[in-house]
Formats: sequence, structure tokens, C-alpha cells
Amino acid sequence: MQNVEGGSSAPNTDTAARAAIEISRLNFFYGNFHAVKDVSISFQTNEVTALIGPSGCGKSTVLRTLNRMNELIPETRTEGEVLFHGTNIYSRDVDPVDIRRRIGMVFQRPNPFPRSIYDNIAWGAKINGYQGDMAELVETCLQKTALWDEVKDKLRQSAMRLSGGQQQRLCIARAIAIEPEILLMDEPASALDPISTAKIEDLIDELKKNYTIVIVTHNMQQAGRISDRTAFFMVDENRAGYLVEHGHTKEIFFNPKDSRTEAYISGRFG
Amino acid sequence: MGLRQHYSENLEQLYQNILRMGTMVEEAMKKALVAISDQDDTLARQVIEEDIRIDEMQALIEDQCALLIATEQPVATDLREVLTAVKIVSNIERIGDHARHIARAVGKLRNPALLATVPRFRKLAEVGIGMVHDAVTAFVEQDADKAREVADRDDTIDDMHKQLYEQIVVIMKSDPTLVEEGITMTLLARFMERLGDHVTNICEWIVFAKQGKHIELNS
Repeated sequence: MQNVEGGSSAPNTDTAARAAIEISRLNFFYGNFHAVKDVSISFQTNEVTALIGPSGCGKSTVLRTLNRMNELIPETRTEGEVLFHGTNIYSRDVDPVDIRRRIGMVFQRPNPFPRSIYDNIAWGAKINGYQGDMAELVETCLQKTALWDEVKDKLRQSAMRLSGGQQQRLCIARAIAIEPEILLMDEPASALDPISTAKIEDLIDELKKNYTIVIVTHNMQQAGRISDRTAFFMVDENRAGYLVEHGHTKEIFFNPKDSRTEAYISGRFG
Repeated sequence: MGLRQHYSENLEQLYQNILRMGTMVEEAMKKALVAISDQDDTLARQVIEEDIRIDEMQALIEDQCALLIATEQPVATDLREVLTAVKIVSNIERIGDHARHIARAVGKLRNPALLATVPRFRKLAEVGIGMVHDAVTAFVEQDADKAREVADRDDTIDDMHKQLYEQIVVIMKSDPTLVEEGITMTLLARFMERLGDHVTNICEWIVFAKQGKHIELNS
């Protein structure tokens, strides 16, 4: 298995707008069902890109193609390319485990391991061969996710005893412990209360200094608040999802080019 | 019930209030013109007293806009329309102030030479009133082409203002005792020139609401 070359596993601090990962003519099938049709889009380094669109438009599917997570679903097929450091991550000789380490994921519902807060962060790093000071890594990741002050005195306590918002920040801390370059987030705040949501949003804004973030959200205001760019997806008459418009968030929310985008973000369909 | 019916109803109410405010200002201007032409103190007082209703309407509309933004979080065209509403009511209110200024001048013009300029002033103001009417209509109809056409008429206002100004200057030069009344008349003329500018602003905001771009009309 080949590891994708180029760029160290260390977070990228280059803020110039250049693609961290690119999708080219992506088509995705669940069995015979054509779920995503001809999507091409690039995600810029150290930016937050929000994927929006009505239910069933394929935005979560597109998100999961970025780290080959869809392959875990039986009878699925991916066509097209996802270029990461110039290599198609779907090439036969690319190791999907390496890809998922470099491109981390945070899910809608917080899913900490039923272990201690400390272990939740340490395990992934240990499995990935982390040789440094583990206590330091745990503290750093909890600091980065603004959770340290809340949990520093109970690191050995079960993660399951944390609130939903804290659990989600722990999951983000766990994701960044293995030093990915890209973070994929699938509605990471949809199950959280407004205060916890605000903390996640502040965290996303902070994390983009070091990571490229792609987020699926149903919350239009959230997309407007946290993302640099927005991609709007729709579903065609055969229920295949496709990309309608992709651009700077301020343009999409203030003066979108496509009338379908305007109708969707204004709440007139969807 | 279609999606965002509640928002559409609130927007409709907002537009109706702007239309109402535009009509109030138009009426105030018309009354002020009659008052200055006929030297009608009673009518002039009425215009001055009624200006407060225009100010109240402006506050009401601004509150409506703030509430729409706070509760409905409009985006794209919806948001631009609300922003435009806030901006244009401020311009309409200023036009209302000009009507009040005209009303305040009633009784200050006594000399026949200067009273003779009132018909020319009235023609100038009538062009302005027409612009106000059509600009408010263009806003309610979201008609950017109409807005551009209305703004074009500002050139006519400027030309008429210039001619009136020159006429007043000749009168003042001929008799220095008329300077005080002459200045009053030049100010009235200047208010109408400003009215044209306010209407142009309104038209620029209408284009912004429709097209999402700030443009200069008649720069």
C-alpha cells in the first residue's frame, strides 16, 4: 500500500488559498442507485467549506468520499477522482487507513469511546505510533478544543459522563490528536444546544488556522457564520445529487448567482 | 400555505408602510407648494405639524426591518430588500423635511419680484414630486429599470434649479434690499435640488436590492 506523498502529517499553516483536496467528476452509486452525479469541487487549505442542500442531495455522501468512508458501506461504487497531494485517493495502491488518518472525521452524534477522557485521545495516537509525551499530547488537544479547563481535573473519568457538547469537543480533540490535515464534519452541532453549538462554531473558526475543514450543515445561519466558502447541492428528477453552485460564502448568502441557490437559502424550498 | 408565508406577509406589510410613507411625503410636498404659492399660513402650519407623523412612520418601518432581520434572518435578495427599505425611508424622511422647510418659508416672501419666481419654483418641485412618486413605485415593484429612468430625471431638476438660481441672483443684484428674501428663495430651490439627490439615492438602493451591486446613478 502506498502512502499519499507530499506534505508532512503536521498541520499545514500556509494560509494562501490553494486546494487541500479536490474532487474531479465524482459519481457515486449505492448499488444501482446513482446518488451523486458529476461533482467537481476543490477545498481550499485552511478554509472552512460548508456543504449545504436539501435532504438526500448527496452532501454527506460527497463528504464521506473525501476519506473513503463510503467504502465501509457494502455495495457502493465510486467513480472519478479525489486528489490529495496530487494523488487519487481511490488509486488501488493507496491505503484507506492512511487516508482516514490524514483526513479525520467528526460525526453528527458525539461518539466517544466508553473509556476515560484521557484514553479517548491517547488511544488513537498510540495506535498510530505516537512516540512523544502522551500527557502533553492529551493536554494540547484538549486545549485546542477549549475543553482543558473543563476536564483537567477529571481526565480519568468516563467520557460518557460529559455533556453532549463536551463529548463532541472531545471527539474533535480525538480527531486532531493524530494530526490530520483535513477535518470532515457531518452536522457536528445538530444534536447540541445553542451554547454548545456556539462553542463548536468558535472551535471550528480556531481550528481552521491549522486544518482544512469541510462541514455538512443543515443550518443556513451556521453555514453563513462559520464557512469561507459554501457549496450548494440539489437533487435531480432521478434523485441524484449534484453541485449547483460553489463560491465564497459572503457571495452565496448575499448575492448568489443561481436562482435555485437563492430559493434554497431563503427558505423557499427544501 | 407556501414556504415562508409568514415572512412574505411581513414583507408585504413593510412595503405597504413604505408606500404609505411615500404618499405622506408626496402630499406634504404638494400642500407645501400650495401654501407657498398662495401664502397660506394655515396650510403651512399643517405641513409643519404633520411632519412628525412622517418621522413616526420612519421609526415604525425601521423597527419592522429590525424585527424582520432578528426573527426571520433574511439572506440574499430578502436581506438586500430589507436593507434597502431602511436606507430609502431615511431618504424619504429627508424629503419630508424639505416640505417642512418650504412651509416655514411661507410669509417670508413679500416682494413681487421674488414672488414672481414662485411659479418656476413650483414647476421644479412638481418634477421632484413626480420623481418621489415614481421612485417609491419602483421600489414596491422592485423595478430596477424604472429606478434608473427616475434617477435620470435628476438632470432636469439640476437644470431647472440652475435657471431658477440665476434668475434669483439677477433679482438680488438689481436691488440689494431683496437679498434676504432672495436667499430664502435660493434655499428653497436648493431644497429641491437636494430632493433630486435623495430620490437618486433611493433609486440606487433599488438597483442594489435587485442586482446586489452598488452603483452610482447620475454621478
